[in-house]
Amino acid sequence: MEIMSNKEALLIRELRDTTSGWTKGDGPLNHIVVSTRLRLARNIQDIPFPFKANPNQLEQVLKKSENLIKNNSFFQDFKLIKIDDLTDLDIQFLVEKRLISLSLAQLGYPYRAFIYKPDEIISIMVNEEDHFRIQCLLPGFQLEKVWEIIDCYDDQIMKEIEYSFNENEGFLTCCPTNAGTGLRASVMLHLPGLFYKNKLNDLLSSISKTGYAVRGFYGEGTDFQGNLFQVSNQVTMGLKENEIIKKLEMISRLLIDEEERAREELMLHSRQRIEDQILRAYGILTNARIISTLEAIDLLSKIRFGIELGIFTKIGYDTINRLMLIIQSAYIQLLKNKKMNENERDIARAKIIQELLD
Amino acid sequence: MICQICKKNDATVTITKVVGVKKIELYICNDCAHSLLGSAISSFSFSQYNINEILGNLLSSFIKLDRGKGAEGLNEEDNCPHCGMTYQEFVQSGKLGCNQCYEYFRKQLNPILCRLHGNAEHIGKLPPAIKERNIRLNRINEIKDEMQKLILKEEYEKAAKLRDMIIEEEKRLEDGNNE
Repeated sequence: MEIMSNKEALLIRELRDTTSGWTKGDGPLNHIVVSTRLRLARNIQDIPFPFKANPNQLEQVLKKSENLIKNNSFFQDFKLIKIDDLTDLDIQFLVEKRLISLSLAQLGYPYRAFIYKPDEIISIMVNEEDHFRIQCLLPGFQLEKVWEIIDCYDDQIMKEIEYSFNENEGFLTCCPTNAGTGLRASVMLHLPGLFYKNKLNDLLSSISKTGYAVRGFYGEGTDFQGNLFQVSNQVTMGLKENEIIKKLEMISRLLIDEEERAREELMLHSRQRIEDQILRAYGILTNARIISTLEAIDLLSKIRFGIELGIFTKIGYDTINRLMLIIQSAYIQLLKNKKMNENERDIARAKIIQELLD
Repeated sequence: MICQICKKNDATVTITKVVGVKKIELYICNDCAHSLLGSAISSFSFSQYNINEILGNLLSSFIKLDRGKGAEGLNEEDNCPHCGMTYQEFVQSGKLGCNQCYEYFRKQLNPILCRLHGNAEHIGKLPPAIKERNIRLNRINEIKDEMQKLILKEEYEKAAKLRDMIIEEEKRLEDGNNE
């Protein structure tokens, strides 16, 4: 493995071994809603947005972030990782653990950083598309609670740093798609019932017509693997934050209700078939010697469905959420502390899954 | 119908975005759809795409369409005095370079914000300083209304007291702005 500075290596090792707060999976309606996430896009007054800023200005943004966590007691236990000091594998790992975005990982400019609270519930990406991308992530369905937390941290930052803001367009962002509130709210739903009932396409197509977007969980350009769907708002201006959140809550509730109905029908008419598929998935996961990420994701979704239906009582949401993260390519290599080819990863993945499920 | 982007081929793809009560439609040909949405268009379900990328692409195509109408008074080389962003760069990337770009390109940006969000006015959260200033402004307006009523009732002494209060409040407001 590449050699890193001690501080960064230590922090990455810590992140590798700790479980993110949201993975406890204990929030409201956790039998369908995996997690709720909000993010705010913010920029510092009078410094050009990152892609137009020169290195000195980007460094200034990073310095201000460092001062923020040094000076404001609210950020006392926060930690800062500089992206430039990381190996490619570490960066990929942070993306896989849902801590940073693919854009932060891929952007070419210097002085990018990631600030986070050790429970990983609240974090800030520095010098992404905007100077700050503040994000808050909780398990289950709790939009209002997540807003309360992120709003509070946003206020704290405003005590130290003047944001780019005007009364017409609100919080000014690099891309006008985010201007206004700068708020992107998203809810991650597990919808196997609607998948089995073949009702997903119609529902998702009607949602996309309401100004809300639906996308998958794994990576940016991937399919809906594991029957996981993220629903999020696209409109950020002309609505108050609580209106954006309320509307997303309504749309999510509609999906939750439909999913519950689908599950009831499945249990009434096709119980044997569903239980058979779930238990077969368990059989494969606990016995396979080689398993690809795609196959694992598909089978883990079935195990999650089994937990949600009460078929498995000894496996918890925390285990399944942790598994969803650690079966990914970079995470496995970090856990095994060595670079691996695809075949080696598939073998290691099978072993990791068995250790956690047995 | 002819493609709204290349203006050559027949439009075979319709992209619809609904924002609030407004419906925005873009009629384009297969080739432009491919270059706009990449591989996503080939299986235009809800999979296989990066929503931000598509939004960005759509945004820049909307900007291109708006170019004729919106660019009045601006040449492609005209640039934001603060960050140097040119109008052409803005059209191509769909991104703005700094806070002052919002002022400089406002005339061109407004219709685009309306298309994206159904509205081009922020009504959400305010930074504390602005919130405080707005509270003061509201208070001043309330006192002014009250003062007018007193003048109509010919209660000039009371009205004069309110006038002094207004002067005081306005001074505080100015001090707040200069901080």
